[in-house]
Amino acid sequence: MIPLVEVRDLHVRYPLRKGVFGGVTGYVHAVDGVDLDIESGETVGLVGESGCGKSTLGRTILALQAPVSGRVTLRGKDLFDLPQNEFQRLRRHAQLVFQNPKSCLDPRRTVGSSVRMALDIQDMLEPSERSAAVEAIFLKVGLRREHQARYPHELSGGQLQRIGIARALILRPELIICDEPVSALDVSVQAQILNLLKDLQTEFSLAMLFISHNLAVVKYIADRVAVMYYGRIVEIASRRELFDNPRHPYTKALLAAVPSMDLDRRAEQPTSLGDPPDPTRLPTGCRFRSRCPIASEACAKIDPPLTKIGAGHEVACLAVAPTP
Amino acid sequence: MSPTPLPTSQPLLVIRGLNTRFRSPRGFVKAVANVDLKVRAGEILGVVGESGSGKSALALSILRLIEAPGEIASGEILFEGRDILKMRSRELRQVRGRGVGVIFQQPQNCLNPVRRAGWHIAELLVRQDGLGRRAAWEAARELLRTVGLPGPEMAMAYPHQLSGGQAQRVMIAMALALRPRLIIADEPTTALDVTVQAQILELLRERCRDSGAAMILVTHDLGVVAQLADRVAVMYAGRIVEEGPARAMLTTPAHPYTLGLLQAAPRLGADAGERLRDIPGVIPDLSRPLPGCPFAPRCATRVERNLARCLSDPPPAIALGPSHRANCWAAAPMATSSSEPVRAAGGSR
Repeated sequence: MIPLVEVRDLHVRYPLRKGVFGGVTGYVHAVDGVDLDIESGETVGLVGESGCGKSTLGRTILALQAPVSGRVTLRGKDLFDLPQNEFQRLRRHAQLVFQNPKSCLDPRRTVGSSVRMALDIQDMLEPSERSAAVEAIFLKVGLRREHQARYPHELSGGQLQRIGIARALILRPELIICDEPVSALDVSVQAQILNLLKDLQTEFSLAMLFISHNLAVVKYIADRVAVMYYGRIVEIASRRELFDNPRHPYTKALLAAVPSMDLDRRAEQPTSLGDPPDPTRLPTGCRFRSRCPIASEACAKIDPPLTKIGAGHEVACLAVAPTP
Repeated sequence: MSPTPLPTSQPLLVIRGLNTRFRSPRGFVKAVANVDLKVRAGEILGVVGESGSGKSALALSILRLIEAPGEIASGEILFEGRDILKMRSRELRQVRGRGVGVIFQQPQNCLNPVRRAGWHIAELLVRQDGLGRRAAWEAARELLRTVGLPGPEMAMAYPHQLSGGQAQRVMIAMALALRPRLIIADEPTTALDVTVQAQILELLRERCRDSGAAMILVTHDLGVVAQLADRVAVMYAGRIVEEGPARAMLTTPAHPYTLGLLQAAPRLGADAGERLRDIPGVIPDLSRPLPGCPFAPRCATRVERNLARCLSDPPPAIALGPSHRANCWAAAPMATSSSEPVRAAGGSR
């Protein structure tokens, strides 16, 4: 059976422009050769620091960003090689939940009508059934009927994120891509939204790509986790395997850098990683080499591919040997 | 000209009955309400709260950096025994920088884009310490070295050439330049990536220890507090709801809100599949203060024990230890272990 989403050797780059005429002087390779499968009903966590390309990857899977090369298929169909009308129909199956829902809602429209608009555009259900569907989805995301008549500025950040989720779910998608959905929220509200996403994921058997810089959040929600570093996935494994047995030095450093609530871990010195590289001038060979505590000479020459080292566990590092 | 060291018993900073409010179309928003706080020389106090809790307003009030439509309505802020709120501008300038250094969340916004990194520090030394240009630049380069930016090229870099972590290091060097006795750091690592955050936290800890400066660390992140703070104050709706030694606050908090914050945060060490305990509801509207406890509408303990007075009467400060207090009608130490049902460890209040 083919996976719900297949990403193959995907490359996305942004031009760097300079001068009055905006001549292209170079490129930032935001996604630089990524393969990723998302199965129906699973949650894949995508973690990495700012500028690693995780949002670009998410946007490209939704065809909001065109790749330079590579392939993204949804239900077996190539997103970038489809007639417009078929693409529009396929579109319904993949939806996006943004970090800042306020900036994606029309301030002059009630939130109920914004949610309903998704049904109108996709021409889903009979027009007479749409109001009932909106009411039902509001209840599902923990809002009441009267919230429909509110405007975005009348709602709190947590309530707006519930609207963002309602708007994505009303089309009954098979995949939702959540790009830092709780990063702008306070911890007490963040927990509400994470629990909601988890419940909805089970109820609707959604596949989810959960993009976040927060490892603890990803550990809470994801079944599988991919770690990204400057355009590449450097490690991917099941949640348990990634957090219990991280193998890539970058994954290890990320985990060690999370401030622990454990007071007894205070004395432990974090591994000093140095500053991140200039994304337009990444090191030759392994791109993590400039910050890697175990880099050797070979790392400057060979750009390590993602290699399978165990069941479902892949790592892109020369120093990591497959476990026999 | 270093100041005479204070006797250790006397706090460096004493805040009494501080009220800071902001004018809004719906009336005054009480961002800081009746806050009492002490900071001893050399200690790191973590001030924790969610957005709108008043933690930044508190930090800005200490240096009288509150601007219109905000104002400090009443209270005392005694720094080394002198009330900052009564100081004339000349005296205030001395306290800012020399007495109290500040580090903000967005370092790039605090640096002059047309001046080099070293200039920001040298300028402070010229103006406040009366150093000559050459000596000031020499000292600036030395300070940049101590914050992990060695090499003359860092001093000559313009702000746009610095990464977020490097810019924050420059801010720290500026805050340390005049050897202040207190540093106020308002979300110093929130804008940084986690690997860079770890380095900056380590640097702050080390620089405070070496210079003997005290620090007020304002943050929303309990993990950051656990890494650095000696004592912790938790703010909610403009008030300090609980304050105490870091260990007690993080392991046996006495206020239901503190416990709620600890349990709501996903942790790396937690077992997968364990459900997060969220805090239902939202923060109250600060322009319409509630008669009782501001947390009462969201408080599970109040509902569980059916406490009516929480909604009608402001809670008293309950002492739980020599330097541990909680403003709560039901204050009692509670275990944080989320695998066990939450229950008060003692007291029949």
